[in-house]
Amino acid sequence: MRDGEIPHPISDWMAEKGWSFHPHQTQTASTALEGRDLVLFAPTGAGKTLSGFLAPLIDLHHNPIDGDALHTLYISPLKALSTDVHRNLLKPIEAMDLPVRAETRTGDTPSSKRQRQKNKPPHILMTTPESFALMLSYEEAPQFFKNLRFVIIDELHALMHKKRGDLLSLGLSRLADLCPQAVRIGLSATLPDHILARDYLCRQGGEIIAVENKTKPTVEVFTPEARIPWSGHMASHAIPELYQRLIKHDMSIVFVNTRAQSELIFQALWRVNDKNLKIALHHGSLERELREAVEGKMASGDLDCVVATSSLDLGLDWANVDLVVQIGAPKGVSRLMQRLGRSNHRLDEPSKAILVPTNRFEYLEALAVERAVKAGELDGEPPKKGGLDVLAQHIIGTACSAPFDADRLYESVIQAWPYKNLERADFDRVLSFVKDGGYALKTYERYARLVEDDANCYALSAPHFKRQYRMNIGTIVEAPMLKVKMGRKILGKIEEYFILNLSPGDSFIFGGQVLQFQGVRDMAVQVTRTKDEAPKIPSYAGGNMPLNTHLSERVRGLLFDQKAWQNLPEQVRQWLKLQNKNSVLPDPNKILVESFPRGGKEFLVIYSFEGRNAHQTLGFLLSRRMQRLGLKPLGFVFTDYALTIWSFKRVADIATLLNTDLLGDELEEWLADTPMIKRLFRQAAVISNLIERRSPGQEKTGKQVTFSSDLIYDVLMRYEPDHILMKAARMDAMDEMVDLKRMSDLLHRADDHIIFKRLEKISPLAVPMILEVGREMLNKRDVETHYLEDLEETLLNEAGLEHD
Amino acid sequence: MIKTKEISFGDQTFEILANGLLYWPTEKIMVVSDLHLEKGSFYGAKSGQFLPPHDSVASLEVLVQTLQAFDVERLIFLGDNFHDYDGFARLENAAKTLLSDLISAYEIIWIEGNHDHGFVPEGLRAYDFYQHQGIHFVHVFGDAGAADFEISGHYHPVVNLRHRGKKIRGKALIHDAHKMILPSFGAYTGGLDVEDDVIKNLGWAQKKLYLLNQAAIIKIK
Repeated sequence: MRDGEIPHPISDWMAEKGWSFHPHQTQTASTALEGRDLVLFAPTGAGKTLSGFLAPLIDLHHNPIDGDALHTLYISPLKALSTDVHRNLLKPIEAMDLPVRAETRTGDTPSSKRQRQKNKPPHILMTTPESFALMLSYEEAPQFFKNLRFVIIDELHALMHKKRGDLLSLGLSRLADLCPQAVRIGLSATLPDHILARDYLCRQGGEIIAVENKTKPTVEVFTPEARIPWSGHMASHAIPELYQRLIKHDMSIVFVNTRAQSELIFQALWRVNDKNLKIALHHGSLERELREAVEGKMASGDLDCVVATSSLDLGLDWANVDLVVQIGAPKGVSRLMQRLGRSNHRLDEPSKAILVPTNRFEYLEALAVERAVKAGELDGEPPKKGGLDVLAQHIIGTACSAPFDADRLYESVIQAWPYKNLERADFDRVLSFVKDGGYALKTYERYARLVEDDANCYALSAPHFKRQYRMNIGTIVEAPMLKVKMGRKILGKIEEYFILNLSPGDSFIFGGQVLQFQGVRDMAVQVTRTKDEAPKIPSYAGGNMPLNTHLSERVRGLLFDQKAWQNLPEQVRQWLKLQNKNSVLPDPNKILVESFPRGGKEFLVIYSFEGRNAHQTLGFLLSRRMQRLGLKPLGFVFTDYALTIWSFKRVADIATLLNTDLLGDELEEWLADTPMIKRLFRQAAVISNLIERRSPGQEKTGKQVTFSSDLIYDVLMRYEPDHILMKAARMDAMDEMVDLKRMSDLLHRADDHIIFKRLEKISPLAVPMILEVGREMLNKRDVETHYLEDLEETLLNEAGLEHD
Repeated sequence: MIKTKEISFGDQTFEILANGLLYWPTEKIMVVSDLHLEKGSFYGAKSGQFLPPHDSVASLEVLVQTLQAFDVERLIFLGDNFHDYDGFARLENAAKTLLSDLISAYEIIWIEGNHDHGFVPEGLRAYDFYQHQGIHFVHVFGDAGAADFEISGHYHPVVNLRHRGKKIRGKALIHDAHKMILPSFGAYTGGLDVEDDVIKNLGWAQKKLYLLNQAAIIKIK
């Protein structure tokens, strides 16, 4: 096959449309047809998906399948993406009248259709990692996958180094046992480490095909006329000017970091919407139909602007978006690039983004991002070891399909990248957990889920375990959610704990409307519309990502390098100048710690720039240490940039406090009872099938039937702290807290690099930190703007800054 | 030392223990409700949910330690002492020893519950209900007919509340002038919110509600 030549009717179809193939598309097709695994790295708009399907279409053309057999499997992280790709693929198939049957199969597929697909598979099947695992657990799996030639993994970057990626990797290993001839085609966004991604997906001899990003996107840091707030994340100061920019573009997406932000920005934009722009809202809590309606209107160009969270991050094509706005810092360059990819889907035109910092620190961060984009820097997700809970799920799934030999299964498992270093002893412990719980006490031997029929061969002991496995498949464990219903109409879902906080008659913002809470009936939150002026804002869990290491280094550099300040707006520059005068600027190679009294308390601000997770952990550890030293700590708050901790007594000796020995006892103690480890244990317990998922809408009746994972954790901690599930949770904790590494680096650096400044009063740099304190000390829902303004005024006077 | 709180019920003085036991000092009686021993292994045996099989030992150890700290002669098991009829057979040796030591150390009143109906440890008799000083002890409220003063378990009451934005959950003890419902004691026993209709509909007059947690026993308005 020559460059640009594809021996297939699709070439004519393309030519008719005036299109031609990109070199990476033909290269992808020929590599896959040679039978070699590959990963294609390309920016959005490079025709990635078509690249993946070329080889299957060509192969089907030359070697048509007689009858019903699965030829190509397409796996993507999003159901919506499968549906979308299916629709796009059907166009050429129907236009050329190819004898190819392509279908989707996701959690939403009706069981009759699944059954039919099982007996009469389509040629091309689009699915998700979870449905893929489910198909592998069928007894008919060997037959079903027998003729498989290609497996396409789309948005690989979104799966790697996550538990869903673990599940997928294990599935692919098993698939390689069933049909070694199936070629893996990975499609990924551009990543900093292509070799790592190739090794993650491909077997020996895997190929990397990378498309250069020809045009660098233009990134502008938004500098409003209005005063940039000291702290806060709502960008209300920028809304009127931002609105003027939206008017000038055909369609814009305004990305925010949290759902709470999306609700507020949406409201704020509508308040200034005197041109009647069509502005919509899109976030993960909204009902699927509502989100799909928004997506549909975007595709048809019926909208002017969409305010969105990461729910719009992945995959779908919006060709007519000509402006991407990011409110708040994007926290990582790759994440911004991904979001940028949503606009201007043509390779040869630069996409355009505006970054809107919501406070002064974020201004520095936005500038750091802009520079990193210019430098073509990318950040990747750190690799992590495969989860033992996911392995447990995989072992059960394997047993559901057929009896297995433990040695061979282990060999297969370590072919999966995340498990390549898995020790046999750990594998055996997980196997024993699957078998009968793996406890020191042999209570469950008689009830074992797996029976060992000869030396090493394990079989499922009863068929009902299959059903149980299939009901509990997957690696996503969500916080309990409740449906929000207005009359009979479902508006979406909301975290249960937010609702626990409301009394009937309270109002809150959801889906861009102000709603009045009426009560909970039949496991749904009943609401009516209201015109309340001061609704509460759901404080959603998650959504706050820590600032990554590259960027934090850039921010530190910007802060210290006075020459770089010329790019800063005057008000930000003044702030830094005064910091330099009243205290000192944080040296990028050192850690600045300021200490000052305020309101009868002693404050300690540690500017370590290691991201919110590391600072949170450090905050917990330092509180314990200060407690022990009798300093009476009262509380702490953290941002991506610094940790602020306040106490009744003054910290005199910083060296005994910020010391590597914090990583010993305090860390152990904290790890044992932090809510985080309990949350991770709960995840591990659900994923490994120890406790069953609470299926949506399932109501507790009379007496308690669900098990509290906290109670189980407590018992296990006391009697069998080394149990494999405890190990699984601790491993996850270490991974989740890559930041643990950042924190320990910080403490090691601290050893002889602390600049300790005792101040008479608050420093300018500390003002935003103390404003966070004000926020935290108040009940979140009662944060009143005027109160904060008053506090801000007081603080500014204290720090010697003019109120501009 | 475990936290206690004195309450008055049926002209008698009782002490609520922070871990959910009820102590009657003048009579040297301790009451334990809803132990649900072997609840963990019940699910393991039934459905392959292999929960850590240490819950019985965990519950019994706490029970034994607490009993040793009080002057107790008589121990009332208020029903659902085992999670199921066969629970005793699954009990591991350490737990069996703890239980048999208890049985020989105290005078035992073994009241049956709905879960363990029909089972009684060797050498003991099973009670449907028990009466002492005009106070009735029964597993489910009302099952022994009308009584002026009745102490029961069964519902595993818990309280969920918020204080300064923080969620607090704890076992609950509820009583009014005529009836008292004890919290469950077993390590794996969850709970039913006291605001649930099932508990509310039992009909309360001037209800008193206590939240029990390790740090304190708090009377809730």
